[in-house]
Amino acid sequence: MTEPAKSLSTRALIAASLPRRYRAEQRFRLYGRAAILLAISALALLLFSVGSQGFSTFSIYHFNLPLQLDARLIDPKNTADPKVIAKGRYRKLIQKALSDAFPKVHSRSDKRALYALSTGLNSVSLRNQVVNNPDLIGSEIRYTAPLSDDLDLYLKGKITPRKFYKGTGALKASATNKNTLELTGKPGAFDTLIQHIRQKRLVRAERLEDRAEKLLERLKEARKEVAEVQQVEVNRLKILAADIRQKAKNNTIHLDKNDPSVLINFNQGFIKAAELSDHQITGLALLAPTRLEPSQNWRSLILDSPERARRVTDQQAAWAETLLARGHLKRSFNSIFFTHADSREPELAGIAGAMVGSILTLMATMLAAVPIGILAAIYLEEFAPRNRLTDFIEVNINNLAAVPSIIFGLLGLAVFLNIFHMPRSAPIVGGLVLALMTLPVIIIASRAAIKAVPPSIREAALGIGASKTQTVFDHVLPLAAPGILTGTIIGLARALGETAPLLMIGMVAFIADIPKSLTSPATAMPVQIYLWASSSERSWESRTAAAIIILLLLMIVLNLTAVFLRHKFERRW
Amino acid sequence: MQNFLPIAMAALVVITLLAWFNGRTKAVASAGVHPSSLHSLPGYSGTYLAIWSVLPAFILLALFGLFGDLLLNLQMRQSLPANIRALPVEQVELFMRNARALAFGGTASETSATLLDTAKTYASLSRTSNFAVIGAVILLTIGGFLFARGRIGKNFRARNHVEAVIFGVLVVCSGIAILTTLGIVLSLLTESLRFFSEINALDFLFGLKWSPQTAMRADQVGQSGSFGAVPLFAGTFLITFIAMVVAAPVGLYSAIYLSEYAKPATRRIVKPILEILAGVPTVVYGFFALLTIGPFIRQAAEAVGLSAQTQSALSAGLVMGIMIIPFVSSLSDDVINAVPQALRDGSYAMGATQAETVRNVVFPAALPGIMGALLLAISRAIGETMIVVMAAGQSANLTANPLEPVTTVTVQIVTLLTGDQEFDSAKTLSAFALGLVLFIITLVLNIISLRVVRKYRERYD
Repeated sequence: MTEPAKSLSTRALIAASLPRRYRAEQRFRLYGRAAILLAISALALLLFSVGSQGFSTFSIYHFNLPLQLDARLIDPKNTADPKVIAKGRYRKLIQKALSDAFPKVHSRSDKRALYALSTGLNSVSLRNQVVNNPDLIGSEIRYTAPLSDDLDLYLKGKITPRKFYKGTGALKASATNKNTLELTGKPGAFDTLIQHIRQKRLVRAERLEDRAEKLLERLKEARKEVAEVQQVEVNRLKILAADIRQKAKNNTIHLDKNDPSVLINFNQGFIKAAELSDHQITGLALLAPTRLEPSQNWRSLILDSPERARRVTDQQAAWAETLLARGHLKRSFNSIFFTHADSREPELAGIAGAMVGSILTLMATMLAAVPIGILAAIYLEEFAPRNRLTDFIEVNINNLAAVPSIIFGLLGLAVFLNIFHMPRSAPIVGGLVLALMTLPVIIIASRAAIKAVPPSIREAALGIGASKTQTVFDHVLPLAAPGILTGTIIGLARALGETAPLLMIGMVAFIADIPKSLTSPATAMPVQIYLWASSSERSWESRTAAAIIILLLLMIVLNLTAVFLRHKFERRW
Repeated sequence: MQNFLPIAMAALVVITLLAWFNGRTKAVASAGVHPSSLHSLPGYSGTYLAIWSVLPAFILLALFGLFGDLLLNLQMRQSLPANIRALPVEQVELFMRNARALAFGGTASETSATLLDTAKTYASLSRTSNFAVIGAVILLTIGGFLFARGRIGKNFRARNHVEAVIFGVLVVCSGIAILTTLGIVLSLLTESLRFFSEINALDFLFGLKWSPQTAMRADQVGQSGSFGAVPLFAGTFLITFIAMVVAAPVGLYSAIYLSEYAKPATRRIVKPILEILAGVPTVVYGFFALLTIGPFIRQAAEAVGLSAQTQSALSAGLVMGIMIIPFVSSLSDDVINAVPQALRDGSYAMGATQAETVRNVVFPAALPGIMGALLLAISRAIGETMIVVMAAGQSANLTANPLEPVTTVTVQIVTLLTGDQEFDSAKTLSAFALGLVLFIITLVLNIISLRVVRKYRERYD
């Protein structure tokens, strides 16, 4: 191969290498496209994951339950004294309304589970409603508080899918003992259910076998003593899996604690299946059917996640489903999220407090950073002599723009809080810290805008006798204003999303009130997001994501305003 | 204090307006029938008078607001009874705090006769100083007004005086940037020095164990805590490295494609989209890392038989890499665009393909600038806080395994300083020492990269 190649001319050599080089060219282009695609899809994934998690928070399940404002529990002596009314037993009233909806709940633990449908904190809003309008006492009102967050998640299908299967054929029920019912349908009526359970069991068996498999592999490398212990575990897993497979084949299936829950909704009752065959189900009545006569009208509900693995019991699910069917639960716009401050209970937590905190903080930032930034830019661009000091200031500003934001937080902590004893967690301190951080951005943008104003403007003003100051403030500044405004808004948008410096000055506290002034304790939106993201309960996740959606929307609005201003007022010279 | 502020503001506005109109009227009157014979426009006389009436008093008030408490404290410390002054520092602090609480309506943790006495002098001292300042403010206002009003006249150069004040304000405003840097350096240095007076600086910089928990009582075990910061530096480095592994190629290839290959229309659309990545708040990235990337990595690792946790260096690093892409791409884009077209044309004339031109001509020519961009991106990654706080974990883990949780300098600063604690313990002070290290590293990186980028830009201009 090498011999004849030597004799080839340069032209032929190049021609021979061309396909390879063209392929390299194509590849190079592909890398570029792939890089851009990767970046954009990362952004899309980010927005999609936040959006899909947060969107469900904007609507929520509310009660729509008749509630008797019993005078005996609020104001037994009929004093009409607001102080007495404020001390009424509102929690008891809510519990009574729930008991009235399900009168057959007697045992203490069942009652506790039932009352958990509505958080105890709801009594506060009920009390306020009554205190503000004492005439309501004795009458029946609509109780409209939000449903407990876990059940809200359940009804939204976020805990486990809520799959209803329409029943075929008539079903007949008979009571075997006090709470146990036997449901009989035509042969094959429960086939889908059995298939579903069998399939789930097979999946479980496979998963166990997988685990055994992996353990076995690791076992080869393990030390002898460890290996012995692990061998036992492998055998146990294999036996378990075989057992599950065996049991899945049976004609009559006994549901165990790892199986999905099967609930039969029959004549307005809910029966939890314990044992099922293709035509017969025996199980506990979570809610007794209104009648036992045969009925065509039945359906089954399968909750895939086993009861012990979720925070909502089958009993609670049955209650929620019944309330929903009766129209005592309604899904509607979640106004609480937009009007309340933070709360320990997810269903009562809102973004309003953090939003007001952010607005106050940003106001302080604006008041401090915008005038100082613009004036500094004017000095540096129009007045400053070119000397060491100005150079130093310039380098300084460029460096400040790249200092990590958390360092500004340390500065705020050491100077504003510890030297000047300003209040902790206050928007004014947060605003000042963010102002120091935003200052370089505003200065740099303003300088660029001032520089863009052509010298002819200045010369004309000076030519008709204006002083330097008059020239700058009356002629240059108005022409530079759109550019300055754009830069300022972008700087403020960045300050709006900043978290770390605010953590340093104590704006992370749990604050259940909407802040009222620049010195009252507050949090800001990004800090609220951080706080909620650190909470472990599931329902905080969607609330965090919803808060992020709001924050991103605010930032988009700010940035679009900046873009709009630039397009509208930008002048090319 | 609550209703004092609005009243003061209102008074300020009223006095300003009154002075302005008064000065203007006087200037016009002094000109007689020929208003054009005035040296300055009458409005300048008004402004001059307003400045003299308000500014001195305002400066005094601001100084008092900033340093009044400090002075009062110092004064009080001087007048403390001797037996209290002999106590250890913390107890004196506590005593002072209680006295303050008793004097100004707070909750004191204890009360005693001496305490009540001190509180009484405290309150009276505070009252006297308040009255003194209010009196001085009124005097300054009236004095300034009368002085300035006396000078306004036909030949008075009001504009020059006003412009001198404006100039002064401009200078002060641009000085704030320096003051900020100074403030950062001084606050970090003083607190760090206090920390290093307790903990050996070498132990801090080279120690391998980080557990800043100091015991409350002297007899508890492990009461000193250990402050070896190497695990934090290692964690920071690991995450920064992962982030750069993601951001450097993706950012560079995007920049090259956008500046060399893409049509202007594509460029106009894609560039702002990439820039959005830089505008997303970091706490959002943290949430994304914690709830989407973290669990995904854990499942993926378990699927191939590795053990991983939701919080890991990998998830924090990956997400941080995504965040940094636009920093790399837009800076490199600028640098690549600054490479003169003549270099490319020469390469094409030699028969090189476009990719070969980029790789062998444009890229080497732009290399210093690209290095600057990468350094700036690294400094960003080192100083980034929220992503690592949420996604990297808290445990000081000296490991190179990206699937394990690690902690970083910024995470530790946040953990050490959030929550209530006394300001003087080594634990809190160590956060400032970490801050100092962080500041120095990022400063050096920034200075180098800014210099490189700027120098490089100038060479081809």
